Amino acid sequence: MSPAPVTPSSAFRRMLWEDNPVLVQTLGICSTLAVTNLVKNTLIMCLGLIFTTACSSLVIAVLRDRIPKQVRMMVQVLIIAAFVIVIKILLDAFLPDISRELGPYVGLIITNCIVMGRTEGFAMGNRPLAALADGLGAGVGYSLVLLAIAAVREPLGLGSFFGVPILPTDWTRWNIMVIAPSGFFALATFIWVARLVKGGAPRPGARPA
Amino acid sequence: MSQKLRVVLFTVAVTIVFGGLVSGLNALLADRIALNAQAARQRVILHLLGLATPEAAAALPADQAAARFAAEVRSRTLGPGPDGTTAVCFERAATTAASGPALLVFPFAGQGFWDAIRGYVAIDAGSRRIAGIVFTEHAETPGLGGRISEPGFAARFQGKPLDQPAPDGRRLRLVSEGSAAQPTEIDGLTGASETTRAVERIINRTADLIIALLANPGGPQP
Amino acid sequence: MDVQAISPLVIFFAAITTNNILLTNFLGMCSFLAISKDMKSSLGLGAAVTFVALCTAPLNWMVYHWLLVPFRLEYLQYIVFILVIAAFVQIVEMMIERLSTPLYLTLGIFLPLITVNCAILGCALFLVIRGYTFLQSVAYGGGCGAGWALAIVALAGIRERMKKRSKVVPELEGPGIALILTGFMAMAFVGFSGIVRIN
Repeated sequence: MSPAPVTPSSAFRRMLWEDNPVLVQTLGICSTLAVTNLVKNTLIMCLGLIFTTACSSLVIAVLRDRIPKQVRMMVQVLIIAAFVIVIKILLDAFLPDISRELGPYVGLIITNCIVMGRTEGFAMGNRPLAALADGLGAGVGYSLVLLAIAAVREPLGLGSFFGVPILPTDWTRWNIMVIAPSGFFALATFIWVARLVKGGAPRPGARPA
Repeated sequence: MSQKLRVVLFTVAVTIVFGGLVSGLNALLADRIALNAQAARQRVILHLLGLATPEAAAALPADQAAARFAAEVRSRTLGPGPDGTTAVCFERAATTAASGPALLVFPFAGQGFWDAIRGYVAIDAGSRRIAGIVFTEHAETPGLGGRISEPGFAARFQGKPLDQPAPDGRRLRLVSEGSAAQPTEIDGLTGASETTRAVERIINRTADLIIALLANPGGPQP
Repeated sequence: MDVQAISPLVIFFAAITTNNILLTNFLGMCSFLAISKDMKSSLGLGAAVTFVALCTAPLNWMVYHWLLVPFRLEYLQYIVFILVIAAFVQIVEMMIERLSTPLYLTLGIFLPLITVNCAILGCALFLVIRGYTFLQSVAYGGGCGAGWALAIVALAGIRERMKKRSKVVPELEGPGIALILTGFMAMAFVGFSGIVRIN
């Protein structure tokens, strides 16, 4: 909670790079990393996450002075879950095949640490517009990293991008890029590069659990 | 006391507002979702029973798939077999001589390399041969074992006899890709030997059950 | 003939090894990366996750099949599962606190971390999607928890040794190197696939 009100645009930009939830805090990768072997599925998941963080941050910032302390967490979970259920219903109704491919991962947005982290860490103490921008920024910053991972994994592993073949047919597919271990390697590499670019690694103890 | 009451009222209010939002949206779209949930399975069964080409079945909108399924397909319970098992299968609602052999479509499932493999297999009840197979759900490695969901792999099962078990009990044998010579041999997948082995195990187990049930259909015949 | 045909034993071992909820589904990563720095905490958290997953999987199965399905409320499963898990964790925490202080100090303090652990919720969602029976979901819950515990304890062991003997590029320190190690573990676990063939 900052003493001076944060402007929406600075809240948005800060989450994209300086405080990027994945690169800096390694938070919230659970729900999406598993689907990063296909760009299309990653994109849908990321849109869902952006929608959830933005909406729940906005709603919680609007209600922030009225939410009783004792039930704070429960109310947050309730609101987040409601938005995630909305996404699930829309996917089931209009994109049933993608919904089936994503399986449980849509529901797991609820326990994505980023959503709860932004509502609890920012929206509870800031104005609605700033909270909306902060939620959007966190979602977009997160999405950029995961889409970048997917954009490496799908072409190398399957020779395609967004389902469209882009590499020559005699391209030897890197099968490891499609299976789980490469998700860990790809993410670690991105964190490494990001920290090199930023210069000076943050001290390991400084991260929140 | 009033503080406690406020907490309760607030929680109830939030629950009602958001519960209402979600329930309203669900009520609006429930029919569509229910159709979608069944459509994938219905399309596969329509295709396996020869009621639609694979392309035509895949292109069926959810409501038409449901309508055609209801009109043209009926389910039937086989069994209990020798060990008391029963199995639900699907057949054409109208079996005429012109529509070809009597096909029965069975769901099957088993453990694959990473996770369960599920699908449907169509059996010609007369000749005891596989008339078609579709692997609908699996988590095999994309590009390797994942090729089981490609039509080309399913085509390798076409016409394979289930009533000629080898001495070791295996009715069908998945061999290394390109080396299938016997009628009961099927080309496996190069680079996915575990998936191949899993498919062989699942298909033989399914075939054992189906053959036993066909020999002793039991139950009231429709 | 359907999914019932898969023996609970196979599901249990698959959930620990090839189908490990952490190494193949990436669930429960946040607390995994943070806690695996320390062996003792990893053991405690691993045990707590195993216990909670083992108990909440059948609980959620019952709630889903006996409550949500009959009333056609399946779309509320997400929120209901979260509430079931949260309530269960809360009750167990209170009980442990009353009953045994040593147990509370080794296990109880980790319980609050679990309510938002994706592995537990993921376990409940997977067992619904895969249409498991009651017995299968007990096996799956136990397997998920045990698999998660195995992974975190193994990583904690590696990290403790590395701290003493190896130097890591500063940019990779902490989560970076932990992710790479986890990737290697995920590859190693693929090798277990042969043993899950008890059919």
